[in-house]
Amino acid sequence: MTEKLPNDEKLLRGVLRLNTRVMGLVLGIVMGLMIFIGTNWLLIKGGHIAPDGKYVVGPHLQLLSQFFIGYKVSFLGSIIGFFYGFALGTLCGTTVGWIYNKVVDFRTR
Amino acid sequence: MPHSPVVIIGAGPAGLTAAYVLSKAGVESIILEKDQIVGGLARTINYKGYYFDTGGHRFFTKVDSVEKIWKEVLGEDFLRRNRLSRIYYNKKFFYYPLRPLNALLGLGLWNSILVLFSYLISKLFPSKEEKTFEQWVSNRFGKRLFKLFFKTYTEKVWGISCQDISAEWAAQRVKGLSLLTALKNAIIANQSDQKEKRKVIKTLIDTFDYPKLGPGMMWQKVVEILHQNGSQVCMENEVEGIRWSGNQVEALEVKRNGQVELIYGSDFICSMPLRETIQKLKPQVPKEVLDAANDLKYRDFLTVALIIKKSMLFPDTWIYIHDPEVKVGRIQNFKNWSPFMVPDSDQTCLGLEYFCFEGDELWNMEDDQLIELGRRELEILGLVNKNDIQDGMVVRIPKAYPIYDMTYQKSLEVVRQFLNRFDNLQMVGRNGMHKYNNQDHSMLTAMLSAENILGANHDLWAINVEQDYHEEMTLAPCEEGALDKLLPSVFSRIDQLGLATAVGSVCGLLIFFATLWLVIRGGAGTFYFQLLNQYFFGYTVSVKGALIAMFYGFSWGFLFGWLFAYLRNFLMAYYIYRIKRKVELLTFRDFLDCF
Repeated sequence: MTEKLPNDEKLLRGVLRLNTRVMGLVLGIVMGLMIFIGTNWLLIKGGHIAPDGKYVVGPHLQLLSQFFIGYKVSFLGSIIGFFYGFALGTLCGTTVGWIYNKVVDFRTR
Repeated sequence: MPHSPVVIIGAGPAGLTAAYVLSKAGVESIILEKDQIVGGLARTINYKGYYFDTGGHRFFTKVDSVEKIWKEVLGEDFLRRNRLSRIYYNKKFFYYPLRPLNALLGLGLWNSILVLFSYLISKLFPSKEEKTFEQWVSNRFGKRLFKLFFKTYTEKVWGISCQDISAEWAAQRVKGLSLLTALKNAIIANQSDQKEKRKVIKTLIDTFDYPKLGPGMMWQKVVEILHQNGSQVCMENEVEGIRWSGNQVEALEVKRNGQVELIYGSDFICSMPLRETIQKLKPQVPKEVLDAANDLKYRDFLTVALIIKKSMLFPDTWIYIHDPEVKVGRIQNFKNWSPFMVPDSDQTCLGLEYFCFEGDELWNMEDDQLIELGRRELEILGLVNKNDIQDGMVVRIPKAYPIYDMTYQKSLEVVRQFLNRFDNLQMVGRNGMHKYNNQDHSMLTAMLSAENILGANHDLWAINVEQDYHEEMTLAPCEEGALDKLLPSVFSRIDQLGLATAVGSVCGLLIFFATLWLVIRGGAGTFYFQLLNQYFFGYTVSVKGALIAMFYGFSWGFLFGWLFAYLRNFLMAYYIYRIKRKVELLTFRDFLDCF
């Protein structure tokens, strides 16, 4: 039948490589935005009065401050959260890309 | 002893185009034609003022230089015609490619259901082998559709069973676009400049130009121009021998008025069938070359032209006849090609095309018998009342189609290798190159051969190796190069184990460090984090828990990564398959035209 061309061979046999920088950047932006939008969404939605009479907004998301020091469910906190999310996402994305490429190198050696 | 710088064998589109290009450059030539009519396979016959085209030749091309010659020669004498060519089967017209509603109405509900089932069966249980044309088409359209719309016509055209035609032949007719090209087309098809090109291409497919009095008009005009410029077109001059020595053709032995004369030249362009060319070389060529040439086969055909007392029969320019009970394969309606081809608007002129082998029963039938056969078959088909047929004539066209059988490629290569030794002989045209090309590509080879004589260095055999895919988009070379590099890196598969390991590792480490962080720091978050043990049995916010969480995190991450890669690869493969399939079907659109 139709002969496969060398370029088709590349397409059919080739294995995708990940660009670690791009992976890091993309995951960083996604995680940063998730925290930023998630925080601001709770602010727009508003909170509730706790049994102790305090006005509470997003008590569960607030727990992120356990890991992200300085983070709060506030507009300023959303910006701080964005940076934390971005940093963590970048780290995770870069690591995923790096490990993936190493495994591919090893398997296609 | 006539002598001309250039001697051209054959006054068909190829030979005359070569002479035309040379004459424009001030080089005179002698063109030798064994027949009484110019135009070769693209001739037009004039019978009592009715013009018959032998085969139906659309003038459409993607080659600008060919288009330019057409316009230069005929200018205003071209008509722009809409293309309508349907399949006529069981007294019904079917669009090709098939349109669902038209097919449903034509075949009837029960038959349509059977076609659909047959198609589904072919998709679910395709023939594992694709050695024959029958298997190739059935795998794509189902056995029933193959029997209805491909089997009979193909067997009529080629005179052999579909089981004896190789699948490779079908694959050649449907240009095998590479996956990468298919992807490129799909990706760039929506760009605005490409949309414009698509519009132009669609116009090219759905309409075509046609000379008012058929393609012969074009070649008659070229002959007039050649005569004005000092070239000679010698009719009824049959080449009987080609004298050669070393790497030169020296002279041609030409039969004129019953006598053989020698015609010398410095360069020779030959559009004579390759088999004949080799047979006529003197001294005789080595046996293996002669055997290879004799292995090249041709399919011939004859047209029974009938004049009918009806102003309108059907709107198509031509129809494909798939009914097995008649021998006719295709019917041309010349009035629909050009109204100028029929002198009386109350009459219609049909050309019934019968595919045969020179010397077979059909070929040897008397003209009267063939006209009677045509009359009978038109009535069987329900197209014309026998009594409305007033007159008719028969035109036989030998060697109309070079046959691509299982051995032709090998034989052609032997012949080519031998002919390559000649410095001053170039083979051009359909039969001269044993290449199943259209008129425009025949002309292109001739133009380039003329340019070679004028000093260029074109490889004629490299032209039109594959027919162009009409829908194919074009890109600037730099864009094309960039896409060639980029696409494999985008559409290649993801290594499932690699992604699974990477995602698993990151998830495991993330949860491990998060737990450790809480172990060190403590706080309210510990309680909530502890809730993870709802999913990760045995998990606690402790050092031991961190290790357990790492294991769980790795496992879930691994699973997620693997699944993601698997689904992505699957969807990507499906996407590529769909594009490839779509392209294959689009190229199939012109499949019947390839005959």
